[in-house]
Amino acid sequence: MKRRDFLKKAILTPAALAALSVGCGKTTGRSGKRLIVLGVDGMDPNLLESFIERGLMPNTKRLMEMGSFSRLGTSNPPQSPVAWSNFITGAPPPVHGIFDFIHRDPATMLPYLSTSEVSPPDSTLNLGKLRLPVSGGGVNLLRRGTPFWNTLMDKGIPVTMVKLPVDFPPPAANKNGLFLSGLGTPDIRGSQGSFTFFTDDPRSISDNTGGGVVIPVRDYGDGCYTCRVDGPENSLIEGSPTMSVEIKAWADRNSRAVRIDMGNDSIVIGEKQWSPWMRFSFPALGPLSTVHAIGRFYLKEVTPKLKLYLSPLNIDPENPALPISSPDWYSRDLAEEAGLFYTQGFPEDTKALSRGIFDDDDYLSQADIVLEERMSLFHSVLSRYREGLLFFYFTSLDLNVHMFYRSMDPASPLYGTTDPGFSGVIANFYSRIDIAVGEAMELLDDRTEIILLSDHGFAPFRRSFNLNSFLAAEGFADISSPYERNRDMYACLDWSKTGAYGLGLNGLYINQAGREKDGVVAIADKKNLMENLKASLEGAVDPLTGNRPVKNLFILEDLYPGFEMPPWAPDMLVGYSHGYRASWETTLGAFPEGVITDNMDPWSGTHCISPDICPGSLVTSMKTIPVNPTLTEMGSLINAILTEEDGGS
Amino acid sequence: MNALFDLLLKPFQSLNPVWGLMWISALTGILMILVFKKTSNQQAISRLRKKMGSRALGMLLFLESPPTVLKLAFGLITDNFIYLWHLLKPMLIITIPFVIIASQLDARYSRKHLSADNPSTATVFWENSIPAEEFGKPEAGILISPVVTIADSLEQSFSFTGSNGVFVYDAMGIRLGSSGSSGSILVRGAEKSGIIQALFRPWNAESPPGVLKIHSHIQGIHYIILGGRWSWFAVFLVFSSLWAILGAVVFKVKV
Repeated sequence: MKRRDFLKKAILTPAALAALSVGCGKTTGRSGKRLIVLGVDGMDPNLLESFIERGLMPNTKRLMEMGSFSRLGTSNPPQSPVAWSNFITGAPPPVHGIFDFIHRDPATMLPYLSTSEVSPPDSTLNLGKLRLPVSGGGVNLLRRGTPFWNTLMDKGIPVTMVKLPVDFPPPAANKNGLFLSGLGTPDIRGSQGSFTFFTDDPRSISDNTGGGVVIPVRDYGDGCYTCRVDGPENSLIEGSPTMSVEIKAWADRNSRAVRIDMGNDSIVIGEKQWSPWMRFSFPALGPLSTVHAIGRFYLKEVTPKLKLYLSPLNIDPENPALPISSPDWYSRDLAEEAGLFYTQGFPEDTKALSRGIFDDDDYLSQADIVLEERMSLFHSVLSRYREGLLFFYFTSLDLNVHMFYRSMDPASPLYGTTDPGFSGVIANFYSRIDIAVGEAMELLDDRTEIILLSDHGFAPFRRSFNLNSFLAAEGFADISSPYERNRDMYACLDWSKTGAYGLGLNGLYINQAGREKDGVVAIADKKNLMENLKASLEGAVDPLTGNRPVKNLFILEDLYPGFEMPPWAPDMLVGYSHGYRASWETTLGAFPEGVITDNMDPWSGTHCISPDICPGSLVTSMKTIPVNPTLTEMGSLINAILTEEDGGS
Repeated sequence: MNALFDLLLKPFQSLNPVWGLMWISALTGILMILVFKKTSNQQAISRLRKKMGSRALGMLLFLESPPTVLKLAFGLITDNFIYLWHLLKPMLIITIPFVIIASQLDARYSRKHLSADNPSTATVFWENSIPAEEFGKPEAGILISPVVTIADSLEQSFSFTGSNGVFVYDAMGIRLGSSGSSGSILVRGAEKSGIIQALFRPWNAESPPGVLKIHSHIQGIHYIILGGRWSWFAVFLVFSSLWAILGAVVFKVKV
């Protein structure tokens, strides 16, 4: 937006006026310095160097030459929610409380998402089938600790954090802060992204509900498919029934296209085409309360069978059903200017690719849309930026490297079946991020600095380690119902004979008496058991390769001495070796046959391994940076840069 | 009618749409209150309001006498009906220009202008049969989807984007969109001409030969006012009402 347009808008809207006070305020009493931090999830220093050498990232190269480049110490475990929480709070997991994507409640042994929770109202007014909330309830951020930017805002320095990870719901409104939630923001159904796939192809219909649902539909001869789109549960009605809307898809097999009718809206898309964002309205209480969402259709195929994909329904940034920005008008303001955008934390639909709903081309077309939207948002944010801290987060490198590592890893079990045409995919995404770096560098002047950082690097994920199956094989866990080995949440276990269990991507827990629901290991025996586990896991050998799949087993109380661990913390962290990672089955407590198997999922890159293998990257416009920097130091560094004139450095 | 409104609204075309819409709403409110003054029996309304006031006062004064209160209350209810009767004629007279103005504003301020980043969808309903020739390259705008023919019907739909605010298929006689200037009519469909279309659906053009009607779905627009998202109709209703109230005070109109 041009300055003149912005001022015009400021006259017209109090919202913009508030933005004016944040973005263009007088610098009296403040340093007037500017710092742009580009948070690029998963930007690997080795790949970065390689692409710079190949001339694919000229802007980043220029930034390195102007300032500095270093590997950036990541968190343990090097998972994004943990790493970004380290960045935000400048403290390790025992302080911020995030140890993995998934935690479990030891009292119930039920898993839950580690970053946020939805709590039901404390009391409701019941009128027939109506359940009207009276008090309590809402969405809570589970990350603890104090964010580094509080210091800046207290000093009157403007802070803008766009798509900030592990920040859903965003903090309370502050006159010096603008926040838009990123990683951790759910879709409208409360999941981390659940697609819907309408088809009349029986081969596509399965009971697998991971990442989305496949809904069988039928053409009764007129080319019309009636499709039901499920929205969130309606907590205002007894039993919380799922709200849904009906759409009609009219197929024309000659032109290989469909017309989708939804309420008063229609769109036509051809095969391999994406619709623009469509608005969905779910009436919760007639016209009095409506939940708004947005979604995009993708027509994979119309003949011989219909294959119509609907993206996870995202929270509408112009009419958010849950808080995604602070102040609440900020998401609307950005959407007005940059267009609608994915609000869910994991926008790339990796699950659709893993489940075979997407092929590589389909997935990449969606990943392109995500990055284009993010760039559009970046332009909008950059054009408003006047002073203080601007943090902008890119997710594309992380999720796309996860999915396409196989294209550049000859040792991957999927390398041979991946079209060689995709070998340049990762380089392409890196070079597009480089464009963003170049645009930020255009703002460089004597009062502006740039930091480009990532939370972790990457390594191949060639072999899956079934941690729970290993524990059972080595006698640390007892399988009493072998036919239930593949069921989640330890369905096959006899807890009375189980000493340890794995959950999440790196977590290993002791079945501790008095803490776990059916705990049997006395505290006095715990240390000994952990030492046995360490010896056993670090000594394990992959019979196929002769390599050791576990590089380090970290005992948390040794890793963080002096910290009191919360009850949801794991007792140990499994630091996998290069090429290995916990199997998907391990993450939710299943015990498949075999301990180590080939990873046949397109999700072929990982960072949930030993942290020394996958450090992040740090490129800055400053010559002087800390020696061996770590993510936890970045907040202090940022504060020091921005409060220099106040003696902050 | 469209040409008349083009002329009347010309002074507002240089303004930002939201300001144009607010000023037009304000003038409409004042105009409506003046029409109300001219077409209503102001003396009768004034007398009636005094009478109703005195009855209300009487009820307060004679609270200890229920029969008197009941009698006065009954009189008040009767006066209310008479009051509504006095309002009926001017309201009926106002309704027609109000709806015409609202239709004109709907045609001019309710939709986003066609552009490359604003995809829209149109459906053509053919009169007798779908023509054999296929949709080719439009003269203005871009066809962004194949053309879908709905089985067993005479409907064809397609998605498109405009260029310079318009989408044109000369061969089919389809012309959607507008010149792009603030407050100009944005054509979003076509139908057979008639008085209803001319007065109340000015956003529809005359159907080309062989076409029964054309519908299009063009994105609606919201205006940011006081930090909120307002539809054009909310802006019109709120601002015309506010200015009508103000006009009633200034011009001493008894309502």
